[in-house]
Amino acid sequence: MKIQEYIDSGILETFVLGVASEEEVKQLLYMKTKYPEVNEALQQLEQDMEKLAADMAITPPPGTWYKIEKDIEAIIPHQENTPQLFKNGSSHKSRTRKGNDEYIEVEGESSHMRLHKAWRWVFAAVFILGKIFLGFAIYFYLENKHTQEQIQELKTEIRQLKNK
Amino acid sequence: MLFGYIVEVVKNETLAGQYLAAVFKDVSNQLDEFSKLNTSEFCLLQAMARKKLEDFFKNSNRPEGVLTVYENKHIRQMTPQQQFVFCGIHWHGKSVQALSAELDIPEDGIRKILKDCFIVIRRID
Repeated sequence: MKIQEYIDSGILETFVLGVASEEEVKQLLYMKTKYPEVNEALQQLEQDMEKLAADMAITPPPGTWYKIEKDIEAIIPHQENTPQLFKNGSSHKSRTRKGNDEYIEVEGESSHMRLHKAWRWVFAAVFILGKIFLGFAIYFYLENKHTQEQIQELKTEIRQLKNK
Repeated sequence: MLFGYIVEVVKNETLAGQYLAAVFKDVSNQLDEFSKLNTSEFCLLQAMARKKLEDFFKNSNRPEGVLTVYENKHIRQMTPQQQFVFCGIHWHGKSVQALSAELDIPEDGIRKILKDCFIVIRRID
């Protein structure tokens, strides 16, 4: 089936109105991901539906949202889900008011730091270089010590020769 | 917007409020659908409301003419047949098959009529 024929078939309209069959929905979701024209046509229809709904919108009576909120809160087990951090209130001030602007103050509790994985190679290189420098330092220290001893021996020999 | 749709269907603001609450309570169970389908949130909410209203649609003996939507500027511009199909599906909860049988028009024909209805809606600002 050609894409335009599919778009013109009216299946998209039945989907937007919620009366498409399961098979039609499956096919539409496939077509939507595969063909941008189908997705575009669907978005246009959704906009049309929203336009129609906005035109006929009615403000719910006062208190409706409060009731819905209460109903939703009743089905959410708050005690178990509230993080310990916010339950105690401890050292964190979650909300601060300055002037007329209300904003949320964010303060990190964790003492851990997140780094990009690439840093592990940097750390490995620094570790290996550190070991190499330490090896060189020990080697030169011992070499220097040995040279000093040799110089000392030579000085003693020269003094002995002078005395003879 | 959703409240307006439900009120138009049930014609009772208290009952509509209860349906609205039922829809929003169900949103947490449908979060996967919201992310998976990647479609308009309003249309998904409306589809959810439609599902909740299924029993109401089945048990309601409302006559066709009781809808106030016929005064709507978009609906007014539709032909009587387009109005019958669009309103039948959207506000009376009829299926394409039911309308096809009722109007003695093939299902493809009903879908074409629906398409024309959307053209009318799009044409009017």
